[in-house]
Amino acid sequence: MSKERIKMKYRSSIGLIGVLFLSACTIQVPPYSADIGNVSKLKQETASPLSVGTIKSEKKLNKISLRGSPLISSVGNSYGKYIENALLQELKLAKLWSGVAKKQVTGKVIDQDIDVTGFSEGSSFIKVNFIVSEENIILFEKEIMAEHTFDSSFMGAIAIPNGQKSYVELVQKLLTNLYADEEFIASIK
Amino acid sequence: MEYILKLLTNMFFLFSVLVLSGCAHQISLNPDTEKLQLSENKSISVVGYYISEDDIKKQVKTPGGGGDNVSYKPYKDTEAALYTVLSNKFENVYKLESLTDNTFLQDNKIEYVFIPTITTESSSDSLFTWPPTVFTFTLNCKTLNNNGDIAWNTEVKGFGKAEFDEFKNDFSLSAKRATEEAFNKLVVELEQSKL
Repeated sequence: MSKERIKMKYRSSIGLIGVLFLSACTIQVPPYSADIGNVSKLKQETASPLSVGTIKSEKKLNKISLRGSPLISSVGNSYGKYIENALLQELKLAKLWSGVAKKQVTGKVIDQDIDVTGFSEGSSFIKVNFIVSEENIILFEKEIMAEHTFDSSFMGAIAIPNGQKSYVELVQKLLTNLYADEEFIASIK
Repeated sequence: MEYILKLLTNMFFLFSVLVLSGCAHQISLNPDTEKLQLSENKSISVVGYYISEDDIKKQVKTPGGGGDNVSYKPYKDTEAALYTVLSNKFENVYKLESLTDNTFLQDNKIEYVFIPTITTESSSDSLFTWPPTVFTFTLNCKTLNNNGDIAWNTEVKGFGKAEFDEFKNDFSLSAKRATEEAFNKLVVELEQSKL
């Protein structure tokens, strides 16, 4: 192998390391994975079909900074869409989703953040205002909150992917807290 | 001057090795459940599955690239895929908290109980990037009937491969491809079973 080729290979390897370890490129939240505990709880509580409407989220909440790397939703172009999809997945698995059901869940993301500045522990929180309505009558409206902690590191190569992955668990906890709310359960029965 | 430069280079190299190697990076194995095949021959049976609390919490470490490891929860990460495959095939699916709660089994008319056992392997041919380029996911499903006898037993294996250009947006890609293949093979096995 010529010296020039070795040099080029060395440079591209350094570039590759740079991409994985040092860059601040935009990354996406992993796809939502339904929590079967949540699905079982829904199945236990009701058999009435439910549809999912829009979960709004303001533009400023649609980008979370993880040590300078912007984290965006992997569904549509907003975190509201991601939460809609999470609700849809769990309702479908519980066989409670119907696109034409009169009762509908909608909402708005009030606030959220993921903090990966800590060297040993990261944290995240989310606050969503959920509404259950039926033919323009509001049956339930409440702000539901969830918090989550996860392992972090002073190395960005570990802290950033851990923060990215933590959003899935944060949304699972948000929906666990929603389904644990007695007034919510009463409104969907 | 040359000596100082050499010393600094060696110290930097040592620091890089100590800091960058041997780490465990978290990945997820969960496949996209929308990509799992649907069952054509539906069964009217009601079934359950049992994963112990210890297995749900189990964190596994296997090799990635560059001397690093990857870490994941195989049972927790793939529980939704197992539930999806079973609920596509059977009338109703329950998650069991215990194998000995006969009242729950009888009240819900559960005919079969699936008990999964998962083993995984991973590797990477890259010296510089940690995500695995090759992942193997083996799922053994033991199925018990009402009497506690083994009614069915199968083992499916999924292989996933992903190169740098593909996995730069999803470090778990080879693992997700492996689990998707394994659960799709489980769909086929269930179709051919008499359950």
